[in-house]
Amino acid sequence: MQKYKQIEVRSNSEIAPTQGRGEKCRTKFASEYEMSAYIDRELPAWKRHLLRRHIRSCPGCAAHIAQLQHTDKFLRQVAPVKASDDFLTGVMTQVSGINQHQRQHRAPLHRIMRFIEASLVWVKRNIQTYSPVKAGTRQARLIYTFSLTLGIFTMVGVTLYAPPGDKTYEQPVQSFTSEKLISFEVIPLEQPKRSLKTVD
Amino acid sequence: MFVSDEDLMMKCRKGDMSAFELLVRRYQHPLINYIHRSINDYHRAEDLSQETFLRVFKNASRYEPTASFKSWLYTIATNLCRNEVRNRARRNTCSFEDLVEENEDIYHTDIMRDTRYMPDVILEKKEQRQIIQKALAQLPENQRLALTLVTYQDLRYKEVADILNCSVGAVKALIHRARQKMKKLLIKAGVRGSVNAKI
Ligand SMILES: [Zn+2]
Repeated sequence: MQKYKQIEVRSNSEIAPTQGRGEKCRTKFASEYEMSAYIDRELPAWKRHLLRRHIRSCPGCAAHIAQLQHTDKFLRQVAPVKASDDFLTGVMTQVSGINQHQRQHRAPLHRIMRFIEASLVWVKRNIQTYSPVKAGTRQARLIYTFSLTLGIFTMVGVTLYAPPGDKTYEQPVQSFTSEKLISFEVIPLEQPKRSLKTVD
Repeated sequence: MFVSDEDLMMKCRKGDMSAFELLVRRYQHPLINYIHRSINDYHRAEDLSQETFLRVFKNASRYEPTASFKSWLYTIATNLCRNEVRNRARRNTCSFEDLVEENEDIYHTDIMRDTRYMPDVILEKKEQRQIIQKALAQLPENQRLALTLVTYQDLRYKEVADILNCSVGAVKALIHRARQKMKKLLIKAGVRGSVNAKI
């Protein structure tokens, strides 16, 4: 464990004289930001190698990097927090609730799909036998299949998704706020465009 | 046999609940840790972690194995953290900088249970934790998120860039600025060992 000491607050320059990298350093290949990337091992190998060589000869950059490393080390000393013992159970309970809901929600859709599939097979099988279209042309068959399928779809749709006749009570009651009450529109009476004139 | 997060997620897509449970087991502690450092409130961090996992489950069908699961998970968590901080600012109830006093047993450390450690060591640790948490709270949001992801979650810059939706170059700048600012804040708080390195 790295020890740290509480000290009286003094000016920053007094405590940490090297704020950035050395004033005289004119390194071109690595920007200021890349000093942090260097300690996080995020630089490409060639740049890392060059910077490492540079640090050996540049006390300003060396001090700067050492300070960044120490700040990082200090931050990492904090113990991580842990989830409470019933966290996992809580998540899994909620998730199974969602799972059940999703399954219930999906069930009618599956039923519709299976129904459509079965009806299409039925249509295909019976189209030749019971088709009222005598000509038996390809086009007529297509029209017949289409209208039959449409009819089935409508029937299924009406059965499963009834019109909201009895659901009106579920609609939220509009609350009349003062803002809504005062914002009404005044519609001016329109003059008739053509008036009938009586001719004497 | 180790199963990758991405494989577990693909199993989860097919409705395998045990795969999802394994993912929660893997990430529950790191995720709470990340959210806790980002919003500075343990109890809300637990709520938001739960919400993150629920969103992962609900959107499992949209998950593409091309993306790393970890990045995806942290992206969801980051969005929730941002909303939380924004909502708190809007409500103006409790400032982010306000330290929430927390029970010692939320920390993942054996030092607290070890009787060999003297109370002053525990106190010192607590003090250190509070100084760091307070300093982190003073960083701009993106700097704090980037630094937390790199320092405490050990993510690579590329992953952080994906999570914060920015370039790797921007992450480099965020991390560097965050460390520089942390250094100054720690000096201000009276911490010497962290910044004055022996060369
Ligand atoms: Zn230099």
